[in-house]
Amino acid sequence: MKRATKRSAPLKDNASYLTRRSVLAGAAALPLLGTRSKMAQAATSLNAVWWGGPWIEAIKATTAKQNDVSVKWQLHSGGAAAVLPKIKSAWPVYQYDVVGSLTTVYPALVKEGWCEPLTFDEIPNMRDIPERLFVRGSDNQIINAPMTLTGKFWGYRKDTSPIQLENLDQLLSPRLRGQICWWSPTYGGNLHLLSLALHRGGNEHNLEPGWQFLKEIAKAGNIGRVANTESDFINSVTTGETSVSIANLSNWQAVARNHACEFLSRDAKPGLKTFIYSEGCVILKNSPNKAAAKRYLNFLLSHENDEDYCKGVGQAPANLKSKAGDIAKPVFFYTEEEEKFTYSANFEILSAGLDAMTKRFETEIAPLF
Amino acid sequence: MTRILREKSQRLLLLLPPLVVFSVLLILPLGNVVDQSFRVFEGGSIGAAADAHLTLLNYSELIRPTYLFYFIQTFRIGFVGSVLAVTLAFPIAYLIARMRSQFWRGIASGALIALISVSTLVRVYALLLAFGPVGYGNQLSAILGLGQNSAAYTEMVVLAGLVYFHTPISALVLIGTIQGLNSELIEAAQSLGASRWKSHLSITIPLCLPGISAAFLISFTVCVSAFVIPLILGKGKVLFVSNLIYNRFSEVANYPSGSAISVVLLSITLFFVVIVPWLFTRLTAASSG
Repeated sequence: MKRATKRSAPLKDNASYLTRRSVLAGAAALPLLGTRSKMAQAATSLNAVWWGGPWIEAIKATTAKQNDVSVKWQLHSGGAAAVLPKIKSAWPVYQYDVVGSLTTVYPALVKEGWCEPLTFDEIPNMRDIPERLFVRGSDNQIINAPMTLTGKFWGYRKDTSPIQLENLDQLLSPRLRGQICWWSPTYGGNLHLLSLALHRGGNEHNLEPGWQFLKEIAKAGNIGRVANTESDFINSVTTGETSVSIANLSNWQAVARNHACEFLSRDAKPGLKTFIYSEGCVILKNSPNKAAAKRYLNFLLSHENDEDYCKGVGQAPANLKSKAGDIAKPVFFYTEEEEKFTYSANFEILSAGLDAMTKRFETEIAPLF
Repeated sequence: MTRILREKSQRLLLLLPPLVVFSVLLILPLGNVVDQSFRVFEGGSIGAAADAHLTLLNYSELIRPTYLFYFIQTFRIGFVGSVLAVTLAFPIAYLIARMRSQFWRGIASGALIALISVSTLVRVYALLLAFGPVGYGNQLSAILGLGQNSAAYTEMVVLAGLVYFHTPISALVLIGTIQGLNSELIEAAQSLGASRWKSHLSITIPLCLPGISAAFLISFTVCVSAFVIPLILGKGKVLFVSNLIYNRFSEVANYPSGSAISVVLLSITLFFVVIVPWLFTRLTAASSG
């Protein structure tokens, strides 16, 4: 007896049917599909270094408003200068596209020649940034995208400070024993030493009056802590360990959240003037994503995004069309106020002398503690 | 002979992977550090230039009295901290080693390990708050007659931090030594009329000298290279050599100077690593002789 055989319907269109060949072809195509999408993502993915705390929260919130680029963040481990040895150790191998930086660190970046020149044609929103905030490389091309204006100024905690600071000579008062939070010379371009120098008739070229004044303060026993990081300052003043210091707006605001502070940002005396500087970012020359990075910077520098970012970090926006929040009032100066209350330090000189100043602090000041 | 050669070559083969790892991760970078220490540094740049000239300036700077002060301060506080840590660790280790119940011995050892495994930053900041104005810093400084922000009080807090960190480690090292000690020797001494104190001083301590030496050496070398403890608890006023090295490399980018300080610190530490066991060996020989 012949076995009955099943007859299948004739195939009309191979593409309509799932065959072993089509399954195998699809399986082979899947990795390629994954690779294509990864390649698409890699083309718009940037590696960036930024500060932690409110800075990273604010930049992430601002970045989330666009989908042209995705950013992988790495935090600065310490000050903005701490990333420089990392870049140097790998240069010219690619590590980062965008690096958050500030006025005190730009000179070192310029000296190394790592920064991609930025033009108004590529980043149109740069036209709304004041010229004085730009840093130029050795070829006179702009290398930074300024985003904020902030300032460093003297202040004190109203409830714990034994004095109401009105004049820097009061720093020698016996009532301030152990109450001053000083800073390491490596922090913030050593502007704190410059303030002492300015008070006694010196400047960036002649810091000697500042050194003498600092020795007197150290001998008086009035320095309670030498802060290395912003956390040191915030913890020290917040806990009441110290009560008088010179610090930037963000640091003071962190303390002022819990304790009433007096900000001396609008004092015309030479030593009490506010040091204005700017935070922003640079694109590194070895970035393979320069075009995307420049589009991203243009996005960040728009007046709405700059305004939102600065509200998050508590600083004044660099974009002239942006509005400064109330929180940035201490460092927001109209043109006529700038000359009276602010001082623009020469960071190139301060940066070049950082090594010598650090050694001098270690050998002449620290032993006095 | 062939068998001996084969065994030797097998041992060498087994050593080869760790030798390669240590060469790549330790010897070569150290060689780079030594090379950097003899290079000229130009202020404002990052590290020495590739074609920087050779110099002894980075080492000659360290001969100044103020830098000797930092080395003396580091080794002084490190030495005192290690001695205190081992002194506190010994009775803890003895108690744990002599526990009859294996269960409680395990719990106690586990507690020591748990202490060590807590994050370093968490422990250091806990001490900072405890010894600060929000803790009992005001009361303690008043009792001691020291200003809370004075260098003396700050040094005391740094010392407390070092002892706090190294006591559990020293105790763990000593437990093994004490467990190897024959307790019948103490019983024999006491049965012959020796008091508890005398029997421990004349039998337990001398026989535990190798363990004490090991515990002290481990604590001492880690103390002198401490970084986080002096950085946070030192308030920027009590600086260890490691803090100077950090400033050079991370803040100022003066790699040559940082390298020179590193080489000097390494050399002095290695000297102690050789001298301390030799001293304890002489002590052990003297006490048994």
